[in-house]
Order: sequence, then structure tokens, then C-alpha cells
Amino acid sequence: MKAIRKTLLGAGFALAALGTAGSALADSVWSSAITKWDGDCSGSQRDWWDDMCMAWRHEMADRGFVPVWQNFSLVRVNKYVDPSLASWGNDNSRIDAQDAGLICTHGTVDATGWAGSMHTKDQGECKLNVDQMKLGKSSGGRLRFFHMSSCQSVQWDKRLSWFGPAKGGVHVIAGFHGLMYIGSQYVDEYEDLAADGTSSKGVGKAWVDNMHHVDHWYNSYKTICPVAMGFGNTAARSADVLNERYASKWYDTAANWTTSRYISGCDPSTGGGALPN
Amino acid sequence: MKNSTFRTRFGSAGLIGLLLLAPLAGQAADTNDLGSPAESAQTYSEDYARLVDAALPKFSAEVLGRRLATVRAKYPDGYDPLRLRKITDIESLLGLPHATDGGADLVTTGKATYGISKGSGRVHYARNLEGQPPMDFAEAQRSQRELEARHLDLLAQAGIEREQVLFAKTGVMSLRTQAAGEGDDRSTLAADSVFTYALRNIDGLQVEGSEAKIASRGAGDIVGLSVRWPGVLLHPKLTSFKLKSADELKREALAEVKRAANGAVVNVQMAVVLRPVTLDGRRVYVPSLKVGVLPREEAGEMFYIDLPQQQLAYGDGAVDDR
Repeated sequence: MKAIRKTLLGAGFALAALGTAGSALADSVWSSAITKWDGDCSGSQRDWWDDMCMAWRHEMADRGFVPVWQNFSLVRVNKYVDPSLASWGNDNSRIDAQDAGLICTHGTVDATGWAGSMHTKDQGECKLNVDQMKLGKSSGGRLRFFHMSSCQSVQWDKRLSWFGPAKGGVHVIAGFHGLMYIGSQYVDEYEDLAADGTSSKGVGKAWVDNMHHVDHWYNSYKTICPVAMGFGNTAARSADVLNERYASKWYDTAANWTTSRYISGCDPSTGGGALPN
Repeated sequence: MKNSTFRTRFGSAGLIGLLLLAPLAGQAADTNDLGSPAESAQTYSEDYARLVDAALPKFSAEVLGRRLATVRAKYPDGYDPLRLRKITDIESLLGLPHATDGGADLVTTGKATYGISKGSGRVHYARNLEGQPPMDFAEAQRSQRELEARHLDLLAQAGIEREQVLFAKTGVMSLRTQAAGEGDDRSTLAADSVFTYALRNIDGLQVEGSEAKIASRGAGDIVGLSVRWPGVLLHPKLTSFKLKSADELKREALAEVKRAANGAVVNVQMAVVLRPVTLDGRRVYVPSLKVGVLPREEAGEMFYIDLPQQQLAYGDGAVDDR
């Protein structure tokens, strides 16, 4: 409901922020969303996905973060790939040049852990894979929080593949086990993520608390199963970093340990079995 | 997809509605005619017309129309039972010391943050758990039943009586820790909290966008609260409760299902809901059919079809994020 009100405000910020992406020192956030796959990559149309991403970004902007976004035909793989892994990767001047990033796109589990659909082919690729990413200060960027509004983005059996991108120093990576859904009723949850993660609780906790959702059909129901992973140099740090808020700026540590936060036994019904205890 | 536990947790008003509707539609008494039959939840196909046909709830348009008219008559000025209107109400509910002299919409202390969001009216509370040890997992599991009862009692104190709860589920928020290169067999398991998640109904009709979440680490130790339970007012211009026919609903649904499915094998689910829309800057509700297009391999889509034949004006469209 707040989307219309904030559209013009966000556009103004974006023009300013894009000019300084990569060198900006102000706290900033990135979002990318696709609704129609009308480039040369494929996917089913989902009209509300950009509204979901936008709700998060606008709320972050309201709370003082400079918003940067690259949507639709601008969603191409080089913007998320680290140059240490592929010479054409530009993440350090794009998503990894911000403090927090959110990508809203179709996803599926694959051998690398997750494959996110791009809009338009770049370097011959329509998919962004886990093993192409390294996020955070140690890899030339500064991202501390990476969230994916994308199916199977933190699929339980493959979640430890996110240790690879976390070697870049990113503190928290969050996504979904199994399938998730798109629609107007989810928009507020993204706004709440931004509000809670800024003012009242850690981002890793705000993700799971706000993205968990039951779609009820009276005679049956479906559950959405978010998972957040904290990374750190010790077991205690990997758990405690789930309490880090967007603006807290905790110091970086090596990603030697991870703590996953999730709902015990959560069963997405489609796209993955029930989570363990 | 699970069969719902609504039989034991459905509010009494919902049960009354169920009992009224089911015999009229010739359905089994344990099937709610406001939603897709349970067996349709397992049907995946590319035959979208068949899916829509199977998923359409079996309600009678005439009976449901009368029921909606009753809701309007019962709550002419809306129904707004939540008692958490200001910061001091949250403090009283949770036994917190008064931290403000009133008026503020957000309080932050070293121990907790709480408030009432200006735009949405969402009530929220989060205790600061930084540096604190988690719960023992087995203890969290053991305490679920007791904490669920306490959570529902607390919600009742906040104005959310049990007959307003369509569905409630209590579970454990897990924390699993492991070193790089080590599998789950070498991980350690703890619990962040025990939580209860609740959805809303009014007189048996599901209210979209209303939910309550409450989490604790023990009896009386609330660590999180998020309540979206706004006042519900049917669209004020809704003057006729004549609803679209089953054929009209199927026709509208099929066009959207075809677009959303994009040729894939999908499941389709439907439910009668009261859905929030914006009218002149305020939230009002439109009786709607919620439709879920649920693929096996990519993100599904939810959309709504207005149930009344009467055309209603409101703002609700998706916005291109250019």
C-alpha cells in the first residue's frame, strides 16, 4: 500500500546513489527484482515481486540508507559475480558496494547450491550461482547482509555451500528452504524486515520472523520456510551475529563457523522436505 | 501441504459458519466450503480448467452473500478489538516499566525495543538477546504446550479472543551451529525461542494481512511480539451482497491461472477471504476469492478476485519499480 507514495522519492535517491556506487561511504542498500522475463532468459511473470523488494528498500531509505536499485533488464549476472572468481565480475561496484542487498528472482537448487534467474543473458549466462559469489570486505566489497527473495536459496541440504561466498566477509546470508510465493499480501513483510532489522532486532532474526508465513485454504495450508545463516570466526560469534542490525556495523571476522536459524520441522511441502529439529 | 488443524483451533464463530454452510452445499460436515476441498491440494496438472473447477470452494453465493450482509450489519462501523493502542498498553500487557510519558511510537531501551508502527498500526516488541545464551532445545520442545497456552492467553488480554483465531501453530525456533567442513551430524542444536503464529477470522471469514506472532524463552519471558490486527470495515460503498456466480469466478480465475502457470504443471488453491485495500488513504476490506497458483519448481503466485458483482473502486495495483 505504501508503494505508490514512495516511488518518486526512491527514484531521486537512485540517481544520486548510482553516480557514487562503489565509492560511496554513506550506508546504502541494493535491491534487484524481475517481474517479466522478457529478455533472453526465461521465467514466469510475477507482477508483485518488485513491490516486495521495493517495500524493503523504501523502508530502508526512510531510515537513512541510500537506496540503489537495478531492476528488470538491468538484472545481469556480472553485477553479482566477484572478480576474484571471474574476471568480468563487477559485484564490488554493484551489490557488494552496499551494506545490505536483496535480490528478488526465480531460483532453484542446483549442484552449486542455488541458481538465481537473470533477466538478460550476460557472458552467455542466465543464472547466478553460489560459486560465483564472494561478498564482503575481504573480497573488495562491503556487504554485511545478503538476502534472497528466491525459491530454494538456502536449501537445507545445500546451505553449507554459502560458506564460499561468506569467505568474502559477509556477516549474514538469508533465503528460503523450498518454494516461496509472490503476491500483494507479502509486501508488508518486507517492509517489516527493514523496520525490525533497523530498529529492534538482528537482521538474521528479523528475516526468519517476518518471512515465515502460512497461506491458509481452510481445509489445508502451505508454509513458507525462511532460513538465515550467520557466519563468524567462532561458534559463539556465528550465533550472535544474527543479532546484528543493519546499522550496527559489527567488526568482520573469518567465516569459520555458521549458525542457521530456522523453524524446527518447517515443511514447505513443495521444493524440499521438512526441516530438521 | 498439510491438512489443517482448524478443527481443534478454529474459532467458535468459524465453526458455526461451517456448520451453517456445509449442509446447504451438500458437503461433508468436516469440509469448510469457504476453501478448496482438501483433496485438491494434492492435484498437480497442466489442465488448468480442471484444476480451477476442482479448487473452487463449494459455497453457495446466496448463502455467503447473506452471511456478508450479516457481518456488515453486525459491525456497521467496523470491528477493532485490539486493545494495544498506545505504548503504555504494550507496557501494561508485558509488565514493562513505563519508559515514556506517552505519545511516542517507538521506545528503545538497552533491554528491548517496542512500539506501534505509524502506517500499519503493527504492534511490535523485541527483547535484546545480544550475547545471551540460547534455550536448551529439549527444554524448548517440552515447554511448547504450556507456552502456547500462555501465548494465547496473552493475545486474549490484548483483545484477540480465541474465536478470532482462525489458525494457530506453536513451534520451536532452532539454532544449529557447525564449523566449516563439518556436516549436520557434528553440529550443535539449541533453541532461540518457542513461538506461536496465529491467523485471524471474523465470523469464520479469514482476514488477509492480519496475523499475530509471539515468542518466549520460558513462562512469562516474552522475547518477541508482532501483531497486525487492524480494524476491519467492509468497503463502505459495498451496498449489494449479490456475488458472482461460480461460472464467472471460474472464468476470471482461469485467465489468471493460465498466465501465472506459464505452461507449467501447477496446483491451484482458493479461499474466501476479507482482503484489505486502500480507499481514500484508509484500509477497508473487500470480500474476495484468494487464488494460489502453486508450481512444483518455481515461485508461485497469489492473486485475488472480488466476489461482489458490484464494481468497487479502490487503490491496489502493483507498481513498476523503475
